[in-house]
Amino acid sequence: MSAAATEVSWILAGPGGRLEHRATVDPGGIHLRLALDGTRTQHLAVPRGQLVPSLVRTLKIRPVKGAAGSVRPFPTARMTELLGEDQAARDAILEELGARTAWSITVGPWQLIGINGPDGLHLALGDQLTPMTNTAFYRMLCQQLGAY
Amino acid sequence: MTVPDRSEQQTSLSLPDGWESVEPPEGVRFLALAPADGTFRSNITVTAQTNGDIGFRDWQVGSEMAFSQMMPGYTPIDLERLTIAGQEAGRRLAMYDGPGGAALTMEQWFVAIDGVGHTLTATVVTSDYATWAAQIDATAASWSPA
Repeated sequence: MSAAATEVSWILAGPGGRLEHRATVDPGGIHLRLALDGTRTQHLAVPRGQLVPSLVRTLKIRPVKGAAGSVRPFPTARMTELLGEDQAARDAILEELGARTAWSITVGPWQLIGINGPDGLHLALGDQLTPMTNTAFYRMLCQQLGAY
Repeated sequence: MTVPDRSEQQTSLSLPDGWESVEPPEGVRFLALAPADGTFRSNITVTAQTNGDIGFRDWQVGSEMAFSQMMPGYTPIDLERLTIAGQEAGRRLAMYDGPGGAALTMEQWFVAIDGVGHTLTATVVTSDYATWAAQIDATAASWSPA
């Protein structure tokens, strides 16, 4: 890894399993290591600028019809469980929240954590789940990571 | 900057800073280009095409199918219902792969008025999208399809 490289990791966890993806971004491009399942990884080289599209595709950010999210309390510490290896624990919390998936994106000290479901996307911030439109989320990703 | 489009109605659009309107190709009412930077030039187009008997929903289902078939890597991100000029309207946000694998973001506002489908579409290099998004919102807000 060169000194100019940036490591990115992101997790998508849901009833179907838990996938942890990684990317190395350097001046020449992006090396994606996409988890296909618990054991297999797909390596891909893509041009700079493709990190945000890769995140959106693998986190399955899609239009949600009639999303009506609301702010609700949720201790941020429980996100560790929601994103962890214990499938039963994940399923119980997802059901409690009425969510389909939980996810995290980590780039150095910068991290976003949230859930997706029929009520749309919610960010985990300050012991709360806060609704955010897909457009606002995408703009935030582009603001933070568009240069990658 | 506010510039007139080339339709007979001479509506005006508020463009992002430094963008310029240029002669549009046939079938396009209005075309504006971002300052040149790299191989792909971000742009805004305005179109108006007769839909005939096709209703709003079928028009949009067809549009979405066409995008997914014609644009490599087309991925819808958001779809919002709106009212524009008192008519059922919407906004879609999507991304796809442009020339050379360039990541592009497309934001499109659409409305049907008296059997004519009107669109305003911004196609922006994704790495620049955060820079332009708010000003593109302002362009859309200044749009008066008719």
